[in-house]
Amino acid sequence: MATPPPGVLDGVRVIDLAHPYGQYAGKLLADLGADVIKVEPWEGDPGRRVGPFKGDERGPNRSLFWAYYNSNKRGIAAKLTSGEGQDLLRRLLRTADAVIHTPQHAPAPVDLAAARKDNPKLVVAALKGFAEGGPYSGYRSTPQTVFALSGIMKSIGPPDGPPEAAPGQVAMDLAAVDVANGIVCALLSGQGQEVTIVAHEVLAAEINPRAPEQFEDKRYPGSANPQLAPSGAFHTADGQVTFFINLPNHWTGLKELLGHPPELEGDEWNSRDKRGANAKFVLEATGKALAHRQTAEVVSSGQALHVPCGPINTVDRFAADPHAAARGFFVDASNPGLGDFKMPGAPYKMSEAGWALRRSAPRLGEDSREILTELGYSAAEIESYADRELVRLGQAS
Amino acid sequence: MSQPLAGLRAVAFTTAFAGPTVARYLADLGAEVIKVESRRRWDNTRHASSAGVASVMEPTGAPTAPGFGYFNRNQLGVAIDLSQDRGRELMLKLMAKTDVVVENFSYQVLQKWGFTYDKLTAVKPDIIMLDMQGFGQSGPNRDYISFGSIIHSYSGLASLWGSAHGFFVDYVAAQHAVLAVLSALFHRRKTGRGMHIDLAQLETSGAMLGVPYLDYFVNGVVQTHGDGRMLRDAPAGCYRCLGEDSWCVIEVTSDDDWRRLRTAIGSPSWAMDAKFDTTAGRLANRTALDEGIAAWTVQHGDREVQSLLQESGIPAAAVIAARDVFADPQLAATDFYWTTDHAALGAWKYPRLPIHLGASPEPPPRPAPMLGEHNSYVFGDLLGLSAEEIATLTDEGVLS
Repeated sequence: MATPPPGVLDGVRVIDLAHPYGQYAGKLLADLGADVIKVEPWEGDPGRRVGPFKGDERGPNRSLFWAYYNSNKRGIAAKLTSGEGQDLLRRLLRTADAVIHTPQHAPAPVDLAAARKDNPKLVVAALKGFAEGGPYSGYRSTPQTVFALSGIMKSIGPPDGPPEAAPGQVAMDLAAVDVANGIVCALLSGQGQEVTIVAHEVLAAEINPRAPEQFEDKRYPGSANPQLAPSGAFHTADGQVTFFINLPNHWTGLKELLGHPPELEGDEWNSRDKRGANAKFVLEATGKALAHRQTAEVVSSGQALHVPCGPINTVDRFAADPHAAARGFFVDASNPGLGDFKMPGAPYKMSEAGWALRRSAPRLGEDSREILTELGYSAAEIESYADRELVRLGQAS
Repeated sequence: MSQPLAGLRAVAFTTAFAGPTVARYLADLGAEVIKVESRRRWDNTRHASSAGVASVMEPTGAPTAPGFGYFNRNQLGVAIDLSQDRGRELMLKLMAKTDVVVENFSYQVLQKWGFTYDKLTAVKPDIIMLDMQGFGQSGPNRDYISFGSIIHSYSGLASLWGSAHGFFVDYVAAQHAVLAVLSALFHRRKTGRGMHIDLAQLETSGAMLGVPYLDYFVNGVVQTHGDGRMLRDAPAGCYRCLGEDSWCVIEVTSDDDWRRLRTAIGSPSWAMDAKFDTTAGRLANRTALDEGIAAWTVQHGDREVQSLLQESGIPAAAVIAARDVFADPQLAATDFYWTTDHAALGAWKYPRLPIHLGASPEPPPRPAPMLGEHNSYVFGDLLGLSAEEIATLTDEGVLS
C-alpha cells in the first residue's frame, strides 16, 4: 500500500487525554493528518477494554472500539500517577497545539490551566456531558442520559414501548465532532484558549423552535409521522424499505410504483390531509402492494419515479452495497491484534490530501520511544524510565 | 478578539436541514454567509411542517417559519433567478469574491447552472466548495432523492437503532461538513490552495458506526437492534415510569454504580443476588435486571427517578419531550437559548451554537433573512450595480 500524502491538518499536534466518550474527536483530526498522540495510563486506556472484541475474547489489542476510534493516532503509555510521568506529560503539552480532555469522565492527570501558562498557544478542548452552573451540574452523564434530556429521544421507538436511544455512544460522538470543530476554529483564530462542548447542548440544539401545538410527541411504527402517510418502513419479500412521501409528485410516483392499487386510485387520496386522516388504511394498502416484491427492485424503480425511498440496510447489506463499493467507502485495514479487516473510511472526499488511513491504532506503548526521543530525552533516559516502569516501550504481552 | 471566521464570505445554495445548518455554523462563527433563494424555489423549511407550520407571511409574499428562522439565522439572503443567463452571470461574479460555497441541492441542479468546482476555480482559484448530496457526487446512486430517514436507513443506523429518525442524520452530516470546511480553510491559509469537498451524507452516518461495521468485518456478526452487543454494562436502557408515556433512562457503568443503584432503590432482595455483582454477570442476566429495575421505576415519576438516582451518583435521566426542552431548567439556567426578534416571525427562543470558544465573542444572532432581503447589499455594495440596474433586473425577474 502506497504511503498516503500528509493530510490537510499536517503539522498540528493534538494530545488526546479523552475518555472513550470523547475519542472520536481525536480520530477525526488524526484522519485529516493531525499528529494526535493518545496518552495512556500504565494499565492501558479504558478504550482497550470496551467491547466487542475480536472473537469475543478480551485483550488489549482485540477491542474493536480501540481499533476504530484510535486509528491514525500515535500512542504513549506512562505512569501518569507518578510525578515523573506527569512531568513527561507536561513536557509533551508544551509541544502541542491542542489537548482534548473529558473532565467529567476522566480528569486530566495534570493541571491544564497551568499547561496553558507554559504554552500560551495551547487550545484546551473539553467535552462535557452537562454544563456547569445549572441544576444538572454534578450530574453523571452517559450517551443515553444526555440523549434522554435532549428532547430527541422521546419521538423514536414503538408507539407503546420505550423510546429508543441512539445505539452505542453515537450521541457522544456527535458532540465529539463539535470538539474537533471547536479545535480547528481555535487554530484558525491563532489564539490559545479553552473550547467547551457540552453533549447535552449539542443534542438539544437539534430541536428547532415552533408553536407548542406543532410539536409531535407521539411515536409511530417505523418512526414516520402519519400526517405524511404512507411514509415509514414496509416489509418486502426480502427485507424492508422506507419511504418519505411529502410532496404531490412523491405520491404520484408512489402510486405508479405500487401498480395503482384500486383502493388508492380515487382522486381524494391525492390529498395529503386525506391520507393522513386515514393513515392506517393507506399504510395497509401500501404494505400489501410491497409484501411480495424485492427490496432492490422497489428502490431502483421508486427512485426512477422520483419517489424518496431506500432500503433499510442491515450492516452486512451496506457493507456489500454497490454504491459504497463504487465510492470506496469501506477501506482495507490491518493490525497485529485484529489481522486484516475493513472499516468505514472517509466521511468526506477532498481534492487536496484529506482523509486517509495512515496507520492502525497504536499498541500499548508502541510510539513511546519515538515520542520521547522527539521530546529530547536521551536513549539512556528512556531506558531508565522504562526500567523504573514509568514508561512502557513497545507492546506489552 | 474577533470571531474565528470573521472576514470570510460564504455563498449557500441550501435547503431544508443539513445544508442550512452548515451555513448557520459558519455564520454563527463570524463568516458573512449569503443564502441564495429564488421566488420560484425557496427553502423548503419556509413551509415544511417539520420546521413548524408557516403561520407567517413576509412582506415579500414568501412564507416563513420559526424553523427557517433557526437554520438560517445570521445569514444574509438574496433572491435571484438562476434559470436566466443574467442571473447566473451575476452569481458567478459573486462567487469570484467568495471563500466558501456550500450546497446541498440534488446533484443535477448546480451541474445545470454550471456551478461546478472546476468552473468556479476559473473565477476564484482558491475557492473551497462543499457539495453535500445524500449519496455524494459519484457512484450508481448519485442521483437518488434522499431525506434524513432514507440516509438513516441506508447506512445501517436504523437497523441498529430500531427505527429511523427524520433529522438526526442531518446534524451528523452537517457537523462533519463543518469540520471539512474548517480544515479546508486551515489548509488554504497554510498553502494558498482551495479544494473541492464531496461529502455523501450517507458516509457521515456510516463513519459513526465504526464498531458495528468492525464487528461484521472482523467477527462476521451482524448487529441488530436490541442484541446488546454494544452494551458495556447493565442495567442500561429505558424504563417505564409512573404516568402516561413517562420514561427514564438509567445507564450503569461500573460495579460501584450498580451498588449505589441497588441501595438507592431500597436494596430489594432480588438485587442482592451475587450474579449481579460483576459487569459480566449483569450483562448475562440483564433481562432479570431490567425487570427488577422497571418494577421500581414504574412507581416513580420520570423526573423523580432522575433526581433520586443522580443524587446518589448514578447516571439517570427523564426522557423529555421535544416541546419541553425549551423549558428545561438546565438549559434555562445556562442561557442556552437566546431570543431573536424577526420582523415577520416575532420573537423566538433559539439554541446557541454549542461551540464555546473562550477567547471569541458570541454576538447576539441576527434574524434569518426575508426572501431577497439583502439584494441591494450583495448586488449593489458587493458587485457594484447601481440602484437603477438593480431595479431593472428586478423588473425583469432576474432579482426579486
